[in-house]
Amino acid sequence: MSATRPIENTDKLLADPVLTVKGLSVELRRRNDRIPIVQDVSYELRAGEILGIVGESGAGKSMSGNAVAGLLRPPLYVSQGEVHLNAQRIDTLPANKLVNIRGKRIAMVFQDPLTSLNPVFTVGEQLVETIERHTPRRGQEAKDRAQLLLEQVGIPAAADRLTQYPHEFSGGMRQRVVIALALAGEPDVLFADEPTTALDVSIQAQIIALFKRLCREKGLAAALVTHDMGVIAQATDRVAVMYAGRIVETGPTAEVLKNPRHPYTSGLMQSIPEIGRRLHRLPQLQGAMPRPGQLPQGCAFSDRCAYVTDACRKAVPKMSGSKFHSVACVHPLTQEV
Amino acid sequence: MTNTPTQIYSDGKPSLLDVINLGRTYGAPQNLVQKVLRQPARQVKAVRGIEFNLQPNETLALVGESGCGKSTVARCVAGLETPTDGTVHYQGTSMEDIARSALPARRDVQMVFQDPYSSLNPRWRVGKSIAEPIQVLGIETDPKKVTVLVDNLLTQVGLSPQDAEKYPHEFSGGQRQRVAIARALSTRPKIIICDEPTSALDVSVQAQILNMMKDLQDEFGMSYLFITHDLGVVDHIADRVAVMYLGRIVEIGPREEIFNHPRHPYTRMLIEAVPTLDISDDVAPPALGELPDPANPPSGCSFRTRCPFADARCAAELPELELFDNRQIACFKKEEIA
Repeated sequence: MSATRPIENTDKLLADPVLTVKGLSVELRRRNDRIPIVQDVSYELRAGEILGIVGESGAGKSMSGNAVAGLLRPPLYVSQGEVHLNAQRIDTLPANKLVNIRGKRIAMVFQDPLTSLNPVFTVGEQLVETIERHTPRRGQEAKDRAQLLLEQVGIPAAADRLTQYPHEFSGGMRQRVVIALALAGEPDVLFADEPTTALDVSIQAQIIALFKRLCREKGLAAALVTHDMGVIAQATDRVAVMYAGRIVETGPTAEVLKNPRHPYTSGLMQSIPEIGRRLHRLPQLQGAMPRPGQLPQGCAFSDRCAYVTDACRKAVPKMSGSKFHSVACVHPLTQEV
Repeated sequence: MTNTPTQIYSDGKPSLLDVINLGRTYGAPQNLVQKVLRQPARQVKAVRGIEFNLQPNETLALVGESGCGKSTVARCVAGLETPTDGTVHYQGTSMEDIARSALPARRDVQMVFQDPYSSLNPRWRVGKSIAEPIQVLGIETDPKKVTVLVDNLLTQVGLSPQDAEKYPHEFSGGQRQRVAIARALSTRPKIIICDEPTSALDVSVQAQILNMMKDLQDEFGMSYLFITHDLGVVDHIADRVAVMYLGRIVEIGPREEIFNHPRHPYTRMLIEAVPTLDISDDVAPPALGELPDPANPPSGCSFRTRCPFADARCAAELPELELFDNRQIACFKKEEIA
């Protein structure tokens, strides 16, 4: 029944993707061992659209983003797949070419803003350095640009703040600075890896609102990696749910959250304690996500799944469904939740 | 101390725990200039004027953003820190006396921390960690009986008796938190203080732990003082909620009142800021501003710098907790906002 569903935002879905990830796999190499960490991950990012990548810790959600930006370090290697930025294939580029793409055309925002900022330089110096590195602006022009960026990310008294050091900023303000730094190279693609996880809820709401506004205004193709379904619901247009290194369900956020088809997505959402939905017991998923290298035969979720049959243990289920909402499950849920 | 929370919510039953005018100040050491000029050292009042009580078989959640002092309150209640003001009474005896003596009451208050890996000895098999309080507090000394108790505890928290032989690193995060809870349960406490017990866990594991904690409460009837920043968890587990801001309780009352009809502007802001799973385009405007520096709090009501209702009185005077609309609230504007 979910095969055909009215399609919203048709124009967005038809636009050419800015970033295309095809069949990406990451493995950990140890002597003679090759442990798959991420397997066969495919997604597309389009201008002005935010894709949420959600999963529990160890699901491979950060790893898939780091692989795209060429940030994997041994013993982690991309074992398969392709990454295209517009029409250019970037995963095969040598390191000296990739540095011109990473930071400029693909920008990253990480969870902890303090580790992304250099404590011994002022915020202004760091912004100007990045602007001069990635754009033709120099000198006063770069400084003016730095101030404009701070204003755009909602930092009051931007001119004064440029002369301050990272430790003089609060956590929320620091994350705004990191976002300004990410925007300094005028990127096409923005990866945000748990950008609000270290922040309090009231600050988190501010940063999410800022992130959404900037992606819309600047037409960024953005990916937001998080474990928080609430953040996914508030911030993203489409969502990819990851489990044990694979995408198990993907589709428009409203559709996936309202009508989850993978038993994992459904179980995960029900286990979230929500305000105003008090139950004596939370519906819970049994057990925990298997570790890489210890996955069960067939579907990785089979050991925890209430609908498991022999067919589930035969082979890893392929993604199927419509182009807009697809799921990797032998027995996808069909009823409206 | 005209109206302590004890008198308001007790409906005749004696309370298990009374926190009266609790304050904890941390002093920064004086630097040389301050010593020469005899300036006072910089002091941070982490918590001030905290008053609440805890009834048997009740869960009170202390909620607030980082730096609001909720963990300091927990540590003072557990006797891990000495309050600089006020007292904590457990069934009429002050916690300081309990901590200093070998009173049987010492076993009645236990604590579970956020990170079970740092609260369990990595070189001890978990069976030994769970057995330690039983032996130290003299609940059971016969080694065979202790082993039986440990096996029972492990079963009660959803592990198996064989797990007693394992080391903490052999468990997953959720299982390790189960071990920490088993250790806390080992003395059959009347109160368990839980400081962000599920914050480091994934949601599917968090649901397992929260369900288990509720089951254990149903079985043993202990009380929880539950410290968390996650309002969804609070709404799920708490009977009463105390909302803290910058070292003070700003609103305290029954869970359904606080969540269904929040009165304090800060409580409202917190609840609105939680990202919900409902998808709507008209997202509530995000909260204003940021937490002020606790070392240099605003005059009067500490929330006034972020409060859309604040006026001159809020800057001049400190609002006290007062009974209003089935709760206690510290706000001058409570009637107007309603």
